[in-house]
Formats: sequence, structure tokens, C-alpha cells
Amino acid sequence: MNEYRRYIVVLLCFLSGCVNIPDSYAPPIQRRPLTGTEPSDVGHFANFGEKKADAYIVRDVSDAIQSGAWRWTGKKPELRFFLESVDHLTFTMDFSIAEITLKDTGPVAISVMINGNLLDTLHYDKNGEQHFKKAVPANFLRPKAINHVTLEVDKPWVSKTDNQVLGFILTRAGFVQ
Amino acid sequence: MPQALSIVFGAGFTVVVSLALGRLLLRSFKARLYRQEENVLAFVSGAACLSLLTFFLCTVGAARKGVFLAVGVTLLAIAVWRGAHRATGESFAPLPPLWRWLFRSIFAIFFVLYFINAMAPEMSADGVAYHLGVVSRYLRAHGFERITTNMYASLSEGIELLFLFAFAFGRHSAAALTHFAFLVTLPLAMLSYARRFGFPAAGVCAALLVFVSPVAGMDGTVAYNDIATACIVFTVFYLAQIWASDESNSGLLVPLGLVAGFGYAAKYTAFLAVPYALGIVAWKSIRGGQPVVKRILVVTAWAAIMIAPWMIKNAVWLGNPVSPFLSEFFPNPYIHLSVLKDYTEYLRHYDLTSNREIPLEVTVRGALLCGLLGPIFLLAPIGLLALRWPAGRTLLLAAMVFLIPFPANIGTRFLLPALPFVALSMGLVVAQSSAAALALVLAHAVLSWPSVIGMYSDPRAWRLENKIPIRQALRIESEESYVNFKMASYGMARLIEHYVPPGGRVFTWGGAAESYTPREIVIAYQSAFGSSIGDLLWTPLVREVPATWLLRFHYPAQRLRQIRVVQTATAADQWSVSEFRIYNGTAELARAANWKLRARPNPWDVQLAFDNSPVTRWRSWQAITPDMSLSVEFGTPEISDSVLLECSHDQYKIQLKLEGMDESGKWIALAGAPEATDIPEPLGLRRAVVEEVKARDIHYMLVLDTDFGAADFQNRSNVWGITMLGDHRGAKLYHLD
Repeated sequence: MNEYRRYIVVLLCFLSGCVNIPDSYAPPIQRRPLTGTEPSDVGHFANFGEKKADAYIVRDVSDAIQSGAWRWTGKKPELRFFLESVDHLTFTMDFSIAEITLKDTGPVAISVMINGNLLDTLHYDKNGEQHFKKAVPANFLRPKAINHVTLEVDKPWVSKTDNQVLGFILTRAGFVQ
Repeated sequence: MPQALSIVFGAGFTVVVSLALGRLLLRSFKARLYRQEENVLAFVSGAACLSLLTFFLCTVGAARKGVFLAVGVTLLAIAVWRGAHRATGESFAPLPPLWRWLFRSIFAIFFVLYFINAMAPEMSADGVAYHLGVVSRYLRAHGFERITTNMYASLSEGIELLFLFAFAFGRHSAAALTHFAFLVTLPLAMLSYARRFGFPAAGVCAALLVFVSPVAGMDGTVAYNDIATACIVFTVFYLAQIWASDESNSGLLVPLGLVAGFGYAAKYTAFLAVPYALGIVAWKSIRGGQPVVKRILVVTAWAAIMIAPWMIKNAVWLGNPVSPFLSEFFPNPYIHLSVLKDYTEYLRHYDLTSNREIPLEVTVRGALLCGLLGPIFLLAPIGLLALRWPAGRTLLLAAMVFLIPFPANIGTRFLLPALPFVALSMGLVVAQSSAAALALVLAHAVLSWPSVIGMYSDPRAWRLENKIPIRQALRIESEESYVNFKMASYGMARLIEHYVPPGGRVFTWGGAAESYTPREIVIAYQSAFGSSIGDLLWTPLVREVPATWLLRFHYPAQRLRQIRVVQTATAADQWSVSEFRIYNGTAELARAANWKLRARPNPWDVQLAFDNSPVTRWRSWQAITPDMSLSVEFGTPEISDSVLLECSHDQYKIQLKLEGMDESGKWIALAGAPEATDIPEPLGLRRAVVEEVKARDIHYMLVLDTDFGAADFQNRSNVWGITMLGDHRGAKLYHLD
């Protein structure tokens, strides 16, 4: 039996000689970051359920995060995004029209302006979740710079008790390819 | 030379040289054989020798048409000089007239049908892709090349080397005709066996049952290797039975070992020929009170001569002697275990919903399992009645042995090695009644005629077409026009050759007729390299794949020699890490050249987690188990207080913990579960992916309209940074700009 064991050991040694697993590797050549160093916490896309999305708000979006997922806008919210490159970009936004506001205001229109250029005007006569996505002409945008997006509601809801102005519910917005 | 003649010459020359070599071999070992059986046994034994010789020529870089011609002519001259061209041995007793007439008439009709089909332009999927793809590559390189991007190139290729010998003269159809030679040899060997052992009528029935079987006719007339494998396996059986019936015929042990080894060289699944041959030799020797060891050693040594070259080639070039299989025991960077597992899992089930479908699929339908034996084989269980005769028990034992690999690949073709034994056992039973045997064979022949098959089989069945391609076989209609019309992948190959410069490599998920273009085609599932490129290209297309999931481990700042992340869960998910970053406060530790990076498993890809690219990732490429880890060993101990893993979301079950090696060399727990956050998908992923693919020396991509993401590549080609060069029947060729 011992003799056989010796053969088995020799055979295993022979077979393991086929395997060439290196012990370790050195770090490879480092790839360049995709979008370079951004000047602030502002990137190309924001999730408004997160606190860090504060940096993307210029005006008219609530500081308060509702249900950990969204925020109220006012009549003319303005957002900012840093874009390294401006080619082949699409502006996308997830938002909702609230039943409570629509009931009072009736159908609403939201104008989407990018750096002062009208990208689209959206019309809604029903409440619910909405998804907007539209390619942005490169000449609307500025590379390696902050770009501003304004979302103007034609008929915001105004509280009869404290005159608070509510536009729509903003969940996510930004630029994607 | 007209193309048709060069085809016939290529195949004929290969067959004649094989026959000559086989006769020289059998006669040099003084094997006593009947005249008729000597030819079939000589052809298969000689084919083994020629395959081995071609292996040698490929190894020394001498795989050239001129060398093949010189070697073949020299061997023929030696054969003539040694008198091997003269038939020797006694003849079998003549077949009874009825059976002689039956065999000759049906054999002749199907011989002509098969010959024409084999000579027609080669269009079989696997034939034009890899069986002849590697053959044409070896011929261009005048020998073997180290191919790490195609797992099929690491299978044993004993038959493909015979194809290479023929291909050098007559290209694709010469290879198919060489395979056809085995298709013709198999029934002749079966008949000879039956005549030698005294049941010629059963032999006629069985030989015809196999020969006219639709899957045999289809497989044996294209550049596959299943019929050749079946012929080799039967030859092993036949040689073993001759020796077992007359142990003084000891010269047969050499061809027995050689041909058994040739089984492995032809197809891994035929490795069972070796233990079968050894089992017969050992059993007979022990029962006869004869010495066993010497006989076993003779058979083993000659089998090893055929097997060892393939194992050594794979061990040296791919780190796995039986590549791509058993890669879990022979870890190597050339095949991903998960891809291999998916592939082998598919072969166990194909697209069947239940194994109960197998009998009808392999006999009547012929679509899902690629081929049909013919409805007559639904009667195969009658072969069990042959158990009452010794020959029947011998045959059924062989059938059982060679059916063992079938569950691993339930394609109909994988029944072929056992089919002769099943057919002979059926023949033994039905030949008890001449009328029944006659009816069975005639019915099978009618049901196996191409235009009749279509009346009962699935319309998508893998079978010969109704129309007999005489004009195409004789090249009255050009090969180019016929193949281009019939086979989309041929046009893809032409598209590639037109646009891709010599030396250029093309990535694709599906495949193209590789043997019809000299350009290298990298197919996603065929290698680790290919599947990694496929993974890269899908990164921007699958929402869960981009590295938007950040996992951060916090721990008290301390000086450490090593840091490792350990995965502790067991599940079907795969673990992946796009970037592994180490911080001291807010500053990331710069990755120093003297860092040592390790991963377990898949150590070869560990750098992908440390390359600062958001599109590459280290992946386990196998289901997660608790022994997986990623580690960094610093050149000198470093102070750090957090580790950030940038990960994709497609790994729901992973559980991670962080460990560090302190300055004393002791591993300590640093942190348990990490803090998880999400970031938006970065911009520029598509362009970054293309840059990574180009960095891997792939500058072209063939995308079928049915491929995942095809619309994105087409509609957003400017975002990817790719340009469509051409389109052929739903396949688009892109240049990576």
C-alpha cells in the first residue's frame, strides 16, 4: 500500500506541475478617470432622496427629504450639474404629479430649460409617477462646467392656509448617455 | 487541378496512406486476420498512425501540402516495397445470397447519396466553425499554434489532423470525405465482425441499421468526428474480441492499444475505449490463467503513445492536460468555471423540458437534440433479448460502457459510439426470422431516405436535405455561390475578410464560419478572454452591472502589512469588485509598484480591481464560497482607516468582512459588514468600454441583430465610438474607432 501511495504522490506532483498559478501581481497601469476631477460635490446626476443632493439645488427645491426618497419643488426649481463632456447626453428626470395639487390646479405644464434654452414643455392632466428623457443638443451645454436646469411649472399649487407654493415631486434628475 | 478532383484526391490520398500504414502495422505484428477484416482494421489503425504522424509534423512546423505529399508517397512506396498492397489471409465464407443482395443494394444506394453530400460544399455549423477552423489555422501556421481563445482548440483533435492532411489538398470537402471514409468503414467492420463470429445475417441487418441511420448519414458526410469516433470504438471492440477468441494472436494487442488511445485522441468521450480494452485483456488473461501485467502494459503503452501528445500539448500550453474540462482541478486563466459550468449544464439538457422527450427526439423528431437515429430504433429494447447469447451479452456490455458519457451530452450524435452494439444486438434478435429482419432493414432504409425523413421528423431536424446536391458536389455550381446562398455565416466570414486587415481580431457573441476566413474570431463563450470582453461590453447595457454600489469598511487607523476582503457566503451569485481603494482619512493610498495583489479564485484578473477603470472588474467567475478573498500586501506597512470597494449590484448574496495583517504578521478582524451607498452611473461608460476592448487588441466586433444590446450598438454607435462597416443578413460588423 505504501508503495502505491508513493506512486500517487509522484503522480499528483507531476499533475500539479501543469498548474501555473502566480503568487501575486503588481498594480497595473492606472486608467484615467472618466470625468476628470469635479470642482465640487456636483456631478451629472442627483438622487433627491439623498442629503448630498443639496449641492445640486440652486433654488426652489425643498431641503426636506420626504419618505427618504423625494422632495417637493416650488414653481420654478433650478438645479445644477457638472458636465465633463457634452456629447450625446440625455436629460432624464423621475418625478410625480401629486393628486392633491392637480385636483386644485387642473392640468399643468412643466417647461424644461437647460442653460436658458427650452428643451421641452411637458403637459400633464393626470397625477402619478412620470419619467422624462430627452436628448440634449450639445450647443445647449457647457463642457467642464456647471450647467443649469430650470423646471418651471405654469400653475403651481398654493396653500390657502399659509400660501406655501408646491410644484411637483422630484425624485431623480440628471444627464446620462 | 479542377476543384472536384483535388477534393477526391485529398480524401483518397489520406485514406490510402492510412490503409497502407495500417497494413504495415498489422503485418509487422503478425496479426492473423481474414482478408476482408484486415482492410477495415488496417484503415482505422493506419488512421491512428497517420494522425500521430501529422501531430509530429504540426509540432515541428512542417504541416505543409508538399510535406504531406512527400510523406504520403514515401509511405505508399514503403508499403508497396513490403508487399502490403497485396491482399493476404483467408476470405470469410460467402454471405447467403439474400443477405448479400440486401447489403450490396442498400449499401450502394446510400453510399452514392452520402458520397455526393460529403463532396458538396461544407456547411455544417461546427465543421465550418471549429473542426475545420483550427485545421485551416494550423495549415496557415504550418503547425500547431497556442490558441487560448477557443476551448474547442484544446479538445483532442486526432480526427481533425486527418482532416488537415486531406484539407491541404482539397480543402473543406476533402475533410468531409475523409470523415465519410469512416462512415463507410463502420458498417463494413460490423459486418466483418458478425461474419467472423458466425452471425452474418445479424451483421447485415445491424450494419445497414447504422449505415442508413439519418444521424449517421448527416454526421458522417460533414467535417464532424462522431462517426469516426464510433468507428474507432467499434474497432477497439472488434480487435479485443478477435484477440479474446484467440489469445495466441498476440500481435493484436499493439493495434488494440493504439486504436484505443486513438479513441481519446479523436474525442475525449471515447477515452472509455482504453479501460474497455484493458478490461477485456485483463479479464480474459485472468480467466485463462495467463500473465496479465505484460499484456496490460503493452496495451497501455501503445494507448499512451496516442494519448500523451494531446495531454502534453494542453498541459504545456494551457496548464490543463484535459482542457477545458476539470479546470477546477487544473486552475488556469483560459476558461472561466462558470462559463464552462453553464455550457456543460446545457449539454446535459439542451432545450428539453423533460428527459422523457429523449427517446422520441433521438429517433423521430431530431431537432432539439440535433439528429435522429430513425424510428426503427424505437425497437432498440428488443436487443435485450440478445442477452441469451454470449455474443449478445458481450455486445450489450459494450453498449453500456460506451453509453456512459451520454448523460453528459444528450445530443443524438453522442449515441453513435454505442449504436453499433445496440444495432448488432437487435440484429441478433431479428435475424432469427429472415422475414422480420428483411422487413426491419427495408423499412429503416425507406424511412431514412432524405425526402421521407421530412414527412415525420421535426422540420428543423438536423438531417440531409431532400435535394441531392450533385451539381454542387461536382462544382458545376461554384462553392462560393452555393455556400453564400445557403449559409449566412459564410457571408459574415466574407464581410470580415473584406474589412478586417490581416492579423485583425474580431469579437462576436455568436460565431462565424471561421474556416472560411483567415482572420481570428474571438467568440464570447469559448474562452475566459472572450467572456471577459462580453462582460465588458454589457457593462453599460445592464443596469446592475456598472459599479455604482459603494461598500466602505471603517476601522481605527493603524499600520498594516496586508489587507484582505473575505467573502463568507455560499450562493449561486458571483462576486466581483470593480475597484478596491484604501484610504487614510480622506486620502487614498496611492497604488505602489511594490504592492502585491492577490485574489482567490481567478488570481489572474486581480489587477482589474486595481486599474482605476470603472468598467473593468475582477470577478470570481464561479459561485461564491466562503474561501474567496481579495488582498493587498504593501511593500512596507501602511497606515489606513478605511477600504472602499466599488462594486456592481449583480451580487445580491455576497457577505464580506475585512481583515488586516498587523506588523507582527498576525491576521486580525478589522471590520464586519461594510456601509453601503449608491452613486449614479458615471458618464462615458460606453466609450471607456470600447477603449478597454481595444486595449485587448480587439478592434472589430460582429453583432447579430438577435444579440443582446444590438440596437444600442447600432443606434448609439457615436456614443460607443464605433463605426458600422457592413451588414450581412442581420450581422453587423463594427470598427472600434
